[in-house]
Amino acid sequence: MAKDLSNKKNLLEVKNLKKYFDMGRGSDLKAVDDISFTIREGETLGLVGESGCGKSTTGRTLVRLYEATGGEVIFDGMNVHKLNKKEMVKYAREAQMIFQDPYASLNPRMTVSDIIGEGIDIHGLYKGKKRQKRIYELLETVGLNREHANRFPHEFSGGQRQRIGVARALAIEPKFIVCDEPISALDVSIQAQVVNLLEELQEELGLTYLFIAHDLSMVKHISDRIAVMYLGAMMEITTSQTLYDEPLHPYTQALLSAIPIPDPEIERNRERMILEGDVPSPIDPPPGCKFQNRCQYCKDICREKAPELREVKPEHWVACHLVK
Amino acid sequence: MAETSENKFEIIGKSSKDAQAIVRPSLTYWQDAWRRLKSNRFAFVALIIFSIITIMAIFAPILSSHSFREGDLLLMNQTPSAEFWFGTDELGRDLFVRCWMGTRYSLFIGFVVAILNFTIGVIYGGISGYVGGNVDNIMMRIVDILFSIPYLLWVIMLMTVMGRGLHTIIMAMTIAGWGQMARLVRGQILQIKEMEFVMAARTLGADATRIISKHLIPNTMGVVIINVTFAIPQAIFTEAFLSFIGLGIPVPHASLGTLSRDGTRMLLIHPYQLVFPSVIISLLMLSLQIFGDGLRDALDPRLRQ
Repeated sequence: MAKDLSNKKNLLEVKNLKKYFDMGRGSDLKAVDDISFTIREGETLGLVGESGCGKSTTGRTLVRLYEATGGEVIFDGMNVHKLNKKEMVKYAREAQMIFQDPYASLNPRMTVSDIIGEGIDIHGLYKGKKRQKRIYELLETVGLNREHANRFPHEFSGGQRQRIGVARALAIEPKFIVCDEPISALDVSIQAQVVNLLEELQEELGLTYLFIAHDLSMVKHISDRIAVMYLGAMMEITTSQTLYDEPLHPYTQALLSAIPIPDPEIERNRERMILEGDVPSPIDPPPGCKFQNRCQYCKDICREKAPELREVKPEHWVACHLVK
Repeated sequence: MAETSENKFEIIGKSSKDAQAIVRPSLTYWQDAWRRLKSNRFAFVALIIFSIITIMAIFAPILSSHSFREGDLLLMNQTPSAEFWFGTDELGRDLFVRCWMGTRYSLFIGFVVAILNFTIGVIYGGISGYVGGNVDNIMMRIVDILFSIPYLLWVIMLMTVMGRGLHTIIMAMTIAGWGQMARLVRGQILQIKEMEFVMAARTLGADATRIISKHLIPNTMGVVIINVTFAIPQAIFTEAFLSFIGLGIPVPHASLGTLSRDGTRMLLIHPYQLVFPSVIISLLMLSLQIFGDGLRDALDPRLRQ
């Protein structure tokens, strides 16, 4: 996936976004702590990191399922978290989301036709026969049959359900879709189907994706650029090829070394970077670099000052004091 | 391992379109529940017994030539006969009519109380769960305080303050009973509103009305209806108990509870006067409990086959 996107404008700009959850007794869970990134039009930005690092929270804050604690999300000139109710309805037509769990993301009491048609109804796009026709079109777009329209979610397999979720998001013709681990709940054989569907749709409709995942090889396949998160902070952002060829942040290096290589010879002889210790609690993160307690290169400066995300090479941003 | 070669396999053709087809006939949630309920023999028999009791309660007093309030003192304490199927009581009133009249009152009280509890509980619990936060905290603490007093104590207290009568029984039992439903609905709403399909609806731009009416309420209905079926026998039982201790419906009206109380006094001389109303109460309670149980199996999606 080598698309030339350097001359495209930014569709989404995230500036110093923070999302804290109030845990009571004056303590906050810092799920997302001051992150900034941009997504260009027509691009797929992969967002990776281990469980609990704030990937999903970031995605949900972008479509304003959560209110941001601080910072801004600028979408096509709109400041998303300053929009009033009416403008939010308009924003909903621009930015949609595909969810992780295909079993929990479809209302079990609604037919497929009503699930896909919900967005059409909310925004009053089509009525009567045209609505029905549009739903059939969408079903066929995602590789399902017309006959499925009157069935209920429990009659479908995981992969089919996820495609219904995709059709629901597409129904109102958004420009931008947050894919919140859309494939991690699926069988490996089905994962490829869904990823290919997403790629085809991007090509056809010119969609922009934020693709959240923890499966690194799948992310590399679908993304133009990849952002790596750890404990609510952004560690490294660069093109997917560069990230794999020359990762600069120690955390990224450790993550990449965890990918198994499908060659027993190499796999047996290579050395893995094994991270010591655990992820600190996001309620009380360490001052300075968030990765300090697990980083084998940790210096004094890392414990004192949080590194800023700097552009060390063109298109290659890293938050580490030690990378020159 | 046997050797595999190309010619051992034969392409029989496949269509990718057929691969997506679903053979099973499409059933809605309620059709599916009904299918499972029918296959549960106990629950189905219970439903039939309950229906018979209900039909008798509605039609027996209308069709019978005897009156439930007027008796013939010359015919008091008659044993069951062709004329008086269940016999007569100490004032010579036909027990057959009185029993079904009593069932009618008991059922009426049971249904009305269950429906009132359901309505108040769904609204109160729904608001509490949907709004959440401090509102939820305050609303639920109010329920906790109100319902820290035992249910029967509540009802007896309210009944003695408000006096006897059908209305006051219903009111007292509603005031004392809606909290359980409110707690249940609130718990359900809290759970469902965090589910991804609700988030998806919010992302699509759905407003609160739509989310509540299309997503939250339909998904709580299964559990709520099960609870209502258990609330009906509970209300009937409480009413019977209240009548039994003399707080029930005033004479000349009767409920199954008052009939049983009158029957106990005659237990040693005319046992049939206690037997008939108590058998009806037992059958009613049993059939509703078993039916409720079957309904739970039919509606609970976790047991979906």
